[in-house]
Amino acid sequence: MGLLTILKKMRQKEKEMRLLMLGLDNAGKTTILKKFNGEDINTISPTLGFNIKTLEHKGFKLNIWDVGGQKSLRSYWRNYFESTDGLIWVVDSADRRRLMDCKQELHSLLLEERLNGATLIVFANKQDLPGALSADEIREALELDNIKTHHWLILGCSAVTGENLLYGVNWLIDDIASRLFTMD
Amino acid sequence: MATNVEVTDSVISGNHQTNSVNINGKDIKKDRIPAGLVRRHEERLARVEKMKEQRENEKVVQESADYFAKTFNAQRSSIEERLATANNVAKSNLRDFFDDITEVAQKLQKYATDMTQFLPSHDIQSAQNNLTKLFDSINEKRDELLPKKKFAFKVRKRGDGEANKQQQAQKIGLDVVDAPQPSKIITENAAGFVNRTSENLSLSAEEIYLKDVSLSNLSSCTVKLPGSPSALHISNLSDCKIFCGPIPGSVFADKCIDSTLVLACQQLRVHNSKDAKFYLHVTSRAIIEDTTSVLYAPYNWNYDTLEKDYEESGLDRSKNAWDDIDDFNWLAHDKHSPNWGLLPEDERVQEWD
Repeated sequence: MGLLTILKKMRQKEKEMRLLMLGLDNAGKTTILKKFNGEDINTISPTLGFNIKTLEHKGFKLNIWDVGGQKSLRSYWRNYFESTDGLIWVVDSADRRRLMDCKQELHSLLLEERLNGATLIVFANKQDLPGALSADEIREALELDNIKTHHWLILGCSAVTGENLLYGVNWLIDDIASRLFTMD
Repeated sequence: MATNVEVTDSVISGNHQTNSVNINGKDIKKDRIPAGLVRRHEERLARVEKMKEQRENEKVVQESADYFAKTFNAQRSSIEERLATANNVAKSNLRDFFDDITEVAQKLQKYATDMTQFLPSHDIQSAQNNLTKLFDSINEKRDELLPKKKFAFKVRKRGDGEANKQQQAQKIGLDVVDAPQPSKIITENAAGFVNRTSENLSLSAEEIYLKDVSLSNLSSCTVKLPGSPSALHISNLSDCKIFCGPIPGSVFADKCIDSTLVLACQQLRVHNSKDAKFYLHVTSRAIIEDTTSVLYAPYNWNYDTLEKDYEESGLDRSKNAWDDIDDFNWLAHDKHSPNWGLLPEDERVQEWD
């Protein structure tokens, strides 16, 4: 009884996770979101603003925020940091020229205090394209091994074929759940 | 299977039928009495259960309220005690000291917010009042001991400037094509032209097929790409004409000045450009950012294998959003962005040579 009861009750009530999806423009964030939700992905255009999807998955209520990646929108990313449980960083694996940009944006994001403790999954997207770098190459280019502040995982995936999306989201949820709901 | 189930069913109902009791000399089937009794019994049980739960909840609320009050007040007084020592802290450490104390206070605030659903409203109200007072006294003390806001601002600004410079430096590094580290990764699977002036350039369909084509630092050039690359990256063009066949992926055009681009693609992003004309077929969407004075017309380049390339690229010819551009620097819906427009029909080039 006491605090533990309260915490338990609180979590049971929620069973809710807030996932924030970010990355450079044209990385495929919206496509991943729509594919995961089983929607049509042929008419997606660059996101002007953001999309929110709430979906039930594995008994959790997932609030996924997909915020546009154009340069002019990146300064607004901070508005979405609050109480984020998981960060989904999407990389266009075929866009070799902007990998440095991508690395920089990611690492400055991880310094953000309000994202402390959030689990990070990096989707090396567009593996279906012939010129795509592998997940390992992306891991090296983004210097992910230097990340000590967050739990992270990188996965090659394709939003077009759906490859690895489910696996990645499941990993993310499990990692968050083991952190948040251990008292259940 | 189905018959089996039926058999057991009938056996059970058969048992019920034989289960009769004798009340007041009358033989009444047991099934009939319980209908009312059982219901009342269940209702009674439910009521008991409910009351039990209610009592439990009240207990939890009481417990949590007490617990909360204790924790909250302990934390609050420890913050206040620390704040009282502020006068003794060395000047150089004051900033850290206040940052630290604010963080602790914020944590306390978060704790209070998290608990609101378990607390009576009076407790919430008083916790909030206490928090406001606490923050006020922290700020007062901070203003008293660290009044040099202007100086703080300056420091931060300088820091940002340095960060910007660094960023810029790295960006410049990116633009230089033979920068040591990234170049290896970048040049693989790529084709294209760099650093050319006043030339007529072209690549054949085979040279660009499924390639990531890059055109950068070109001035007064004409580039023809009669084929279907997987993506096209364009940067630093001035006074150029670019022609390309259907691209299944995206086109990214950065810093295109005084140029004409004739493109068919799934998506077009134009950044930092000015005075450019696009003859465009785009199936999803074209956007502009930090771009002014760009004009759009429908795609009208023709070359020998255009039909075949269209088929292979999978671009839908019936869908073309060439005249509907999203401007990321113009978010008003009710007014048209001043940064782009349609190229008047009589100014469009009808036939390219």
